[in-house]
Order: sequence, then structure tokens, then C-alpha cells
Amino acid sequence: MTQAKLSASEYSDAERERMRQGRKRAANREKREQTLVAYLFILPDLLGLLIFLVLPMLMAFAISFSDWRLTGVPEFVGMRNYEVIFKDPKFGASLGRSVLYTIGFVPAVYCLSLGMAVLLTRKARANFFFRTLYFMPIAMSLVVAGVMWRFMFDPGNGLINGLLSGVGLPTFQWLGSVQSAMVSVLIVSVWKSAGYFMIILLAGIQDIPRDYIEAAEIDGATRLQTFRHIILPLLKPTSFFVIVILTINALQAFDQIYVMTNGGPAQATYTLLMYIYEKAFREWNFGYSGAMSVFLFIIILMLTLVQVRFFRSADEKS
Amino acid sequence: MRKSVSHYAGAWVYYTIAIGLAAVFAGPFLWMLSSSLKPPNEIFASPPTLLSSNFSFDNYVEVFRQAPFARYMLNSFIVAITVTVVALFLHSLAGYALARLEFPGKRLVFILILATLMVPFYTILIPLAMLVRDLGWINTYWALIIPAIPHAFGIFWLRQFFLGIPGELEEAARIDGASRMGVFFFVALPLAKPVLASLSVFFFLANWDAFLWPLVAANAPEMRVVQLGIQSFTGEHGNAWHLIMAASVVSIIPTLILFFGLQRYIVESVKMTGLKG
Amino acid sequence: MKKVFLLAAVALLAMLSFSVLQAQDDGLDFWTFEYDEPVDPFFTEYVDEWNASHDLQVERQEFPWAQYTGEILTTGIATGTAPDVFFISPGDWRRYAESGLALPLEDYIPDYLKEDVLQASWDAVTLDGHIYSLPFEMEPVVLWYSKSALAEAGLEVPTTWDELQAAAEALTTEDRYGILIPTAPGYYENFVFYPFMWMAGADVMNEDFSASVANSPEMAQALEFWGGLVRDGYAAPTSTGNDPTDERFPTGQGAMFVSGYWVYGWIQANYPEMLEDLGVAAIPAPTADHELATVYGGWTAMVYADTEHPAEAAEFAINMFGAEDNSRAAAWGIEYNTKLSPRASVIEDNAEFYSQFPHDVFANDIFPTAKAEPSYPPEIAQAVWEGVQDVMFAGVSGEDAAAAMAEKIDSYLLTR
Repeated sequence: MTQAKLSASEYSDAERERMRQGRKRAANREKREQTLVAYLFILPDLLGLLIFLVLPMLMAFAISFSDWRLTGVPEFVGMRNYEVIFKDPKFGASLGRSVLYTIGFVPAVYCLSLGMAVLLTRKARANFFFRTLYFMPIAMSLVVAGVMWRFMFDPGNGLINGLLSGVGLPTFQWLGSVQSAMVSVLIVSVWKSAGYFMIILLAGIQDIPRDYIEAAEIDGATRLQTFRHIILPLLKPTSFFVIVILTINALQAFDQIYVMTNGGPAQATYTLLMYIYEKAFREWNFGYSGAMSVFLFIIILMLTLVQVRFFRSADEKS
Repeated sequence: MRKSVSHYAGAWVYYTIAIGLAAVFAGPFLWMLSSSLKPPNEIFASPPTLLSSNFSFDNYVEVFRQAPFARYMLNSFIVAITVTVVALFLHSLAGYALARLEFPGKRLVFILILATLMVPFYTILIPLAMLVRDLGWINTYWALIIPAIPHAFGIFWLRQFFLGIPGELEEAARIDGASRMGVFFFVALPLAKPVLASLSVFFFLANWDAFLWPLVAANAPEMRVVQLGIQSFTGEHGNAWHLIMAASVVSIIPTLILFFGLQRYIVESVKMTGLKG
Repeated sequence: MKKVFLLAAVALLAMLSFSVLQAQDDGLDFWTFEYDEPVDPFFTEYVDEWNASHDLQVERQEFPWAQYTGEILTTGIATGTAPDVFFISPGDWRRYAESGLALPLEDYIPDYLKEDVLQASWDAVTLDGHIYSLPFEMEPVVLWYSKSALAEAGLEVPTTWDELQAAAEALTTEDRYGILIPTAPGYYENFVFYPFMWMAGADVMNEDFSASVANSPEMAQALEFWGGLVRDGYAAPTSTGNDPTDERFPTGQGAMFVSGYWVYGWIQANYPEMLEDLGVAAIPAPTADHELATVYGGWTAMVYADTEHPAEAAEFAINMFGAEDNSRAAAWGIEYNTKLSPRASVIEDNAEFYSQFPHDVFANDIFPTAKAEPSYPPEIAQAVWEGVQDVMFAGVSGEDAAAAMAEKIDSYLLTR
């Protein structure tokens, strides 16, 4: 090894060149090692995703260019399914309902679960107890939640209307009317999901170093100011995660709604996923159903990319 | 030190809101519990009663008599625990790589992983069923466990988490000569406890509550999982609600216990003093 | 593009054929939806008997009712794991028959059975001269009511639509609905609607299934009457529990209930104290000059066309309810369930049972007026229930709904 010289100017050009090459080689080696380790880390999961999710997705994608009615051989029809989708009023209407649902669902769950998470950061023994109670709806099965809420939403004898009229507020038809059915279904979904995302946000809040919060308190900030200027910004990666997941889930809303209303009354809660499901499993039109899934996929993907960009630019501003 | 008025006012606000929310979130559970202790003709009676005059545990006995419910729970346990443990490990690896390591195609891989969340399950149900059938896994634990392990949700969340923690500790360890695997295992992973604890609950729950896939892939009587057991009380014209309620109460208990146990890890205060900026 | 598609299609077909070629464990698969636990012995006894006396073994599987015809059968057929014998609903029957998934059975059915079962029941499972499944139960729809509720309001059992409307109005109080009809969109709603439609003189399709005849004043009248009950608040807009067994009825929150024969068994099992208050009558016709009619549903047993053992599968299916000794067929509707058998001999041989209330009403009054539930492809069935839903909830008039219904059906027919 050449002995290190005291100052840079003492290196000759050739030595400097050699050192540069040496650093480059080391950097390349480092890069290769990193790549190898990275692939090693990722491989099992990626492989699983490729086999059990991506492969079936590709098959469904291929079917979307065909006409396949369960029996017989799929018949290639090119873009025909996609052309029909553009002219299909039912597709637009169902998509519109899914979007409406999403617009109601995402902000409601985010704000509610954030509020609950922040509420429970107060130092209190009771937190343990409350957290469990807020978690409970998640563990309840859809069928039971469905029948329970239908019972509570009963326009005649239900608990909800009973409480409302008890304090002098007007009552509603809830699941029994076209105007209020979507709201009713949203209430149930928000109720069922808030606890889940509360946990995610709680875990995110725990990452915020306590010193920051304490420093703010010492400086005399109110709880609200602490929240706005310390907690919220530092919660950004988690918030991003929550909102992206909420949006993706909301646009695919199906199970809970189907169990409660079957898409009714008069299709007020008939979402795009319902249309996709019925086209495939009731009418056996797998090509059309697949094409609609591809459509939905593109919409979700674009929306997610928009959200990525939004969060990144918000980062730059702060 | 005398506590300020605002402290007591704050406590008052806290308790009012917290208890109000508790009523909304846990109240319906009370109805479910009380229904499980009633004979069928009282569940939907009006006005509804909280405690039936015919209070009894008959429904619970009936659930275990009519179906091998204990076996169903065992199946669900095996599947849920296996998936949770394996998935947690694999997702941490993948999430860490996506957050900390550079490699060609990283962006693409991340988007691909995210994209798997954007396709509804019904769309891939038949192709996946064909695949699993060809593998010979129908009515085996493999069908329930293996396809459930890869899941973008866990990878995504762990990536976000690892992105959010400062890298000084890891850098320090690297300088000290630790391998990347070592850094991951001994430095990064322990910091992820809240996320791992939460994910444990979520994965356990997701697999404990799984219904459609187990129905298609493993409906044989000895392979059935808990949700299939509960749905077995649904009928042609109507459902045996009293049994469904009782079975559901039994089904909730393991998840609640898990949540109880892991709660303190989820909200463990990560002491990161000395790591400003 | 075409290349990518071809590649993927080849992969799909390869998977498909591979699954089909895989050695099937040799036996017969028999699938049904979940029946209540007390009904299980009916099947387990029959299957055990069969397995004891035949080389070819039968394996039975049950599935939750809600997923049975949708996800389960469809996925089973797609992956080459379709059952050999299975129960099929009237709603799906035609599609399976037309798609070539059902094995024609007329050559396997013994003569005594052909004569014993009602001709109308055979007609409902016949297409182009082939019998594609076996009827074994009939569940007519009737008007159940609470005798005390009617008596309190001083009402006689309604026999015309005007009387029914008036009764529904009078019986609706603050904590009770006058009448209960299905409000969730789906095949079941259509099923209970058909009697009203038929009695008004309307129908969905013409004789040769070439065009829709739904756009008629009679259909408008039926839709208006039915939808009006919900729209005006005399019928509950949602059910409590399930539509076929709306828990409001036995708990005093609904005075009248349009539903099927099974209601009796359901109340007997779950609400025994209500039995003595239970009254049953035929669904009223629009006026005294109209003829009474009601619908009966009932699943049928189908054999998969591509089964490897057609003769045995057919024998298994036929002997379940069609053995020469009709005691098993009778037990199905008497002991295990509350259903009628399409075999005339069952009612004859069990006169004592069918002379008790309410079975006597069903055997004597309802049975003669019952027509089989028509089997429409899902697109047509959907047009029907959308029409019903629109009048009930979307403020559409019966006239407009009938016109829209016919239009949807006709545009679907163009694509066939």
C-alpha cells in the first residue's frame, strides 16, 4: 500500500488516477453487493406475488380481449369489450357510485381515525381500554355487522331513529330510501374501518420523537398547535400510506355493501365492483367483466400516482 | 403542584369524547353478545331487550354440537399464525430493501407491488383457483397458507416505516463492519416493533376472517375455517341468527386476545432521544 | 397484441385441460347448498345407503347458500371440478340447459315417475323435448297473516287488491307495517312478484321467447300496486333478517307477509308461540273476476353433462326423490322441511298429514293454482327486478317501469 501523503498536492497525477479507479471499483463492488442483497431480500415476496397475483391478473387481462362464457373456448374479439364499456350507461353509473362512495369514505375514515389516535395519546390508563373498544368492529364478520346495522337502521323500530326522535331530531329511512342508502352504507363501512386505521396512525405517531413534542410544550404551544406543526407533518409517510390504501379499498367496495343491500334500493348502492362481480359470476360474461376490471385498475393506478405526486410536492413545500 | 383548570377541562373533554366513541364502536357488539344468549324468537323482538329473561348458553352448546367448530378454529389458528409469522418476516425484508437499498428496477418493482392491490379478488378468483388446483393443493393447508403470504399491504407499510426512521444508527453499524443482513436484523428490525405488532394483528385478523378463498379452495369438512363454520348456519330461506351470533362471539375472542397482548408494543413509545434531525 | 393474447390464452387453456386431465378420484360428487342441521340426516342416510350398495362411492359437499350458484358452481365448472349431481335453482336452470351443462335425463326416468309427477313440473324442466333436471319440491307463495291483528282492526281476510291495499293501510301503525314483501333486488323478489303479475294478466315474455310483452297496462297495474305498497309506507322498505323469513312478521312488527310455504316450518321451529295466531290465505286476485294464481319455486336435481358416470349419476339423482316407494320423497316435504312434492302420489298417500292446518290449505286450495317459477336468463330477470325497484324506490310510475323493462329485455334479446 502506498503510504498516505500529507497533502493532496503531493500526489502525482498517475497516483491520483489510480486512486480514482480504485474508488470507482470499490463503488461498483458496493453497488453490486447492494443489488445482490436487495434482490435476495425481495425475492421470496416478489416471487409469491408474481405467481399468485400477477399471473392470475395477466390471465384475466388476456380474457378481457376475448368473449368467454364459461363453456367452450374463449373467442378473441380484440378491443370490443372495451368499446362496449364506453357506451355502457350502467358502467358509468356504477363507477360514479364507487367514486361517490370513495369521496365520502376516505376523508371520513382518515379524520375519524386520526382524531381517535390523537385522542388516545393523552397519558391515561383508560387508553388501553378504549383502544380495544374502538378495535372491536374490525373483528366482527360482515354478515353479523350487516344484520345488526339493518336492525338498527330500521325506519320503524330501529335504535337509530329511536335515538334521533328521542332528542327531537328528524328521522330517516336509512337503507330504505334511494337518497339515504349510500350514506347508511358509508356509516357502516366507516364504523367498521376506523379502528383499523387508528392503529396504523397510532403506530405512526409513536415514531415521532417525544423530545419534539416536549420541546413544543415547553415553548408554550397549545395542543392544537403541537398537533398542526409537529405531529401532522411528521406523520406524513404514514398519512400517505393510509390515504392511498383507503382510496384503493374504497374504489373496490363490495362485500359489506352487498351483504346489506344487494346493490339496492333501486341500485342506489350498486358499485362498480358489483357490476364486475355480477357480469362474471351471474351472467358468465368473463371478457366484459375482465375489461371492466382493467378499466378500474387503470383508474386506481392513476389516482395513486396523483397522490404520490401530491405528497411529494407537499414535502418540497414544507 | 396544583393541576391547572385547563388540565381538568381537558380531562373532561377527553372522557366525554372517548366514552361517546366507545358507545358507538362497541355498542353494537353488546347487542351481538346479548343476542347470542337469547332464544331465536327474542333477537329481533321490539322493543329490544339487553338481557333476556331466557338467558342461557344453549346457543353456544348448539354451535359446537351442530358443527365441528373447534376443528374449524384449529384450522384457522394454524393458517393465521403460519401466515402471520412468515409474512411478517418476508415483508420486513422486502420493505427494508425497498426503503434502504439501491438496485436497478427498484421503482418498477415498487409500483408492481402496489399494483397488486388494485385488482379486485373476484377478477383473479377463477385463474387462481385453476392454478391452485393444478398444484394439487385443493383441500390442503397449502392452498390456504401460501397464496396468503405475499401481500403488498405489509410490504408497503414496512417500506414507509423504514423510510421514516433516521438512518444514523444503521450507518453507524455499517461503519463498525456489520453486514447488511446484520444491520437489518439487529438494528432496523427491532425499531419496527410497533409496525410489526400491528401487522401481526392485521394479518392474523385477515386470515382468521378469510371466507371466500377458503370456501373455494378448502371446503372439505375437516379443512374448513372459522368463517365457513359461521356461514354454515345460513340457510335456504333464512339464517339461524342465534347460532350465528354465538359463533361470531366465539370467533372474535382470539383476535381480541391477540390485540390485548400486542397493544403495548403497538403503542410503545419509541425512545429516540439523541437523534435529532 | 394478438400474439400476447394468444400466448396467454394458450396458457389458460393448458391450465384448463391439465386440470381436467388430472386423475379425478373415481366417485360421484354431489353438491348442494347448506341445509339446516335437522335436514342433514335426509342426505347422509341416502348417501350411506347408496355407498353401501354400490361400487361407485358418492361424496357430498355443502356450501353456503349465498355463494352456491354464483362463485361455487361457476368456479367449479371453470376449473374442471364440477360436481356430477347438484341442485340447481329455477333461476339458473335455463342457462345451464342452454349452455350444454346438463345431461338429458328423459331416457333414465322410469315411467311410473313420469306419470306421478305433475306435467307442469316436467314442463318447467324441459327444453326442446329434453328433460334436463328432476323436480322434487314445490314451495308456493301465499299470504300469511296475524289473525289477531286482522281481528283487532275489524278486517276480513282480503280477497281483492283493493281490500289488500285497504288492509295494509289500516294495519300500518307506528310500530308495525301492514304488509311485508321482498325489497332486496334479486331473483327472490321476482319470484314473489310473479303471482301479482300473472293475476293482473301480464307476463314478461311471449310464447316463443322471441320478444318481451312486459310493456302492457296489466304489467303497469301490477307494478304500480306492488311498488305502491312500499312507496306509500304500508310495506317495510327493508327486511329484518332475510326477505324470505322477515323476522318482523312473527315479532308483531308486520301484520301480513307474502312469502312461501317454508314460513310455517320456520315459525314452528323458532317462534312456536306464534303458531296459533298464524293465518294463511291465497294471494288475492285484482278483482273477483280475476283467476287466482300463485307461483311455486323449488330447486331441481341436475346431472352434469360431462360426468364420467352418466348412468350412475342419473340413478343416484332419480332415486333420491323418485324411487317407486315414495316415502323418502314424502319425508322431504313433511318431516324434514315444509314443502309440497310434485308427485301426486305423495299427497294421496299422506292424506292425514295434508288434512291438518295449514297443509290442507296448501294441498287443496293453493296447489291447483300454482304455476312453476319461470326460468329467465339473468339479463331478463334483472330487467324485471329493476322495474320493481324503480316503482318501489325511485318514484317511477308503473307505466314507465313496464316500458323500460320491455326495452331492456328486447335489447338483450338482440344480442342472443
